[in-house]
Amino acid sequence: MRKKIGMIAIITVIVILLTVSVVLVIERNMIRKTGNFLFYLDEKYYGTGVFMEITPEELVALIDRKESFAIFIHQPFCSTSYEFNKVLTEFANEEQISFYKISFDDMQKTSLGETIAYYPSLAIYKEGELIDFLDAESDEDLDKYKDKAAFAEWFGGYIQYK
Amino acid sequence: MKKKMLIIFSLLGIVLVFACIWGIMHAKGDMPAAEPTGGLRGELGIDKNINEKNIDAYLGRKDCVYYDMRMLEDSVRYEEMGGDSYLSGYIEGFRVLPYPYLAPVTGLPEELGTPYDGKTLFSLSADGSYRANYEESLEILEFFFPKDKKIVLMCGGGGYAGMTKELLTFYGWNPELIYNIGGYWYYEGTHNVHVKRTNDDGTVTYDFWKVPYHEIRFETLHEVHE
Repeated sequence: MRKKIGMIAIITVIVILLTVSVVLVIERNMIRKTGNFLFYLDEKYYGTGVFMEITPEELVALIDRKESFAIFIHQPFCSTSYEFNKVLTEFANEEQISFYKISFDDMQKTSLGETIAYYPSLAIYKEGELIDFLDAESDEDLDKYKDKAAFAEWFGGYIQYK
Repeated sequence: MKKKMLIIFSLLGIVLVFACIWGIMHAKGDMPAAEPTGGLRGELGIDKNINEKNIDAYLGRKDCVYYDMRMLEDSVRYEEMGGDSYLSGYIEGFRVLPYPYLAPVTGLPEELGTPYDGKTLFSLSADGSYRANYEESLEILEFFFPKDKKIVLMCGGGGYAGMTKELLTFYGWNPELIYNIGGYWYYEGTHNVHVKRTNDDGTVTYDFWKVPYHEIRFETLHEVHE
């Protein structure tokens, strides 16, 4: 009887550990593209298309204040990062939407560093929660880095323009 | 008593199984074939399986050679993109051999300035073909990158390493044995050798004397004349 109880306990522990691992993996992947998040950025980000460099502390403060904003994570990536710079700048000027900007090194000092592994990237926050981001290692996101229309379609899938 | 021993041995057995699995995953066995990752990084030829995040597990292998393809001081103004034009550090075990001395640098925006435009071992045509500029060019390439070894390349962001892989592949190296592991700027492992030093007075110096660096003296080579 005790033998059976012992074996059941061991199997139960293993199953729990496996379940927790699977849930953590799924939860991480569910940060991206889950449901309809169409919303407005905070009012101050409309009307000018500028990029504002911020520190890790300022990013943490934005999240703590539950603001809705978009942030560009940058650092040299040879020519491809610069290409995305241009796409984003053109988009910002056309739509008159402002973005924050943070270096990859600084970004890694914040909670965002647990999710974004490579630069360049663009992250969208709604009320302090990370909704989606561009992944430099994803084939699915490749066109959004290179083509303004593709980027606009992705961005517009979350953000309401004014 | 017997039942307790049975439970204890069962637990030990489970721990042993997990330890074996972990050991197999981290053992220095065969390296997976080089395979580009996806997305923007994949376009630079950065490897899917071996990159900045796990390169520590593949250092010091006798079947590999390791090269960092950056210049000590690059003429490209990478600061304009938030980077560093100086080699601020490298991964222990890598030797530095600047790609700009091998073949022309392409694909960089004009706004960053002119990349190194001095002598190179190879020229690059518009159709993507290379041509040796010196009689010794291919011999030098074979010296640094033996064809019977796996070749592990890196640079700042993966660009120069990718260009190196293209050059080697053009001259017959097996691309499945050439790993572009990406950029030093992503590296977070435990074999980081810092070259950039911030002094007490706030000035910055670069300890290039730490860097295992290969120089190519073009004046000692024999030019190929068409």
